[in-house]
Amino acid sequence: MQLQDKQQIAILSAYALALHGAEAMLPSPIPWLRFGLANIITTASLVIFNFRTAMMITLVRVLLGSILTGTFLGPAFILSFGGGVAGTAAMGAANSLGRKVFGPVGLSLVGAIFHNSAQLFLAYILFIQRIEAVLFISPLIMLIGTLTGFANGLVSDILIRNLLQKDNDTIQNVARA
Amino acid sequence: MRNAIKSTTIADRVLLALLVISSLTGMFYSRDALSKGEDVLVEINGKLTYTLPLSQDREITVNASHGQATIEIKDGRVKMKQAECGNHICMKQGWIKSGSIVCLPNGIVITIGNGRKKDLDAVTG
Repeated sequence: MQLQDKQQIAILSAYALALHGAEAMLPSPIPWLRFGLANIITTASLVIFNFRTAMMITLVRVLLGSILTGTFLGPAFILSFGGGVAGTAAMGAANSLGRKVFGPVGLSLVGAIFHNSAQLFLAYILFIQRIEAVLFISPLIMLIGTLTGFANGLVSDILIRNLLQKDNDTIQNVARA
Repeated sequence: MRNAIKSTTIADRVLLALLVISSLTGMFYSRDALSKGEDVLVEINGKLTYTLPLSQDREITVNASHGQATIEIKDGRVKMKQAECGNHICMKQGWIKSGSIVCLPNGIVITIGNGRKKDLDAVTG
């Protein structure tokens, strides 16, 4: 791994953490609605780098995010951790199918759905233990997750284009000089 | 933005369509999954603590993990009037006639169902 890559990974982790924190402060019209903005960064890092990098960025975000917001090892942390790891793992699996199968939008959708499913499952196992309540809320959470996942995927696609474009420019400039 | 939409693969689009359709279908069917009944069942940390008739207006205060919580029953509906939790999702849900109110931080689950009938079944058995 080159030094430049390490710097980019550090910057991406910082972006993910900042988005994660900013999102927690946003007033939300529906209590369980979260945009999952950090997923933009996870998707981009998966496409630009690889699965290991994406998982590392996710872990950094979840751990530091919970320490900064004071929820470390609390219920919110367990949900955030489980969702983050499951979402990123599923995205990694989807990504390994090849570039032609899922683009950033598809990866983001896969991530959103597995993130939500893992959280619902954990909430059921640890906190609610009422299958009717979970089944009732699941479709709504899935619909919101699909819409935000789609939007995040589009933003991620734009971000990836810009980041790769910038890389090409630098290489060209270096070549010219 | 246009480029981003254009660059989506077929699998992306199929996945999006499938998810939208299945979640909308799920929302339509999940209404039936809502429990209906004549009693308000209050569970605290998984234990059924109160069984109250929905037809009788009253207010109860229960002790939960994060202090006291007040549940109000009025005109055949129930709501979480007050609870000591961070985000007050339970209170924002307002009045319900069926289904349930869940307060995660406090471990309180309010469900509308048939509590007394279950008790009777146990007696006759």
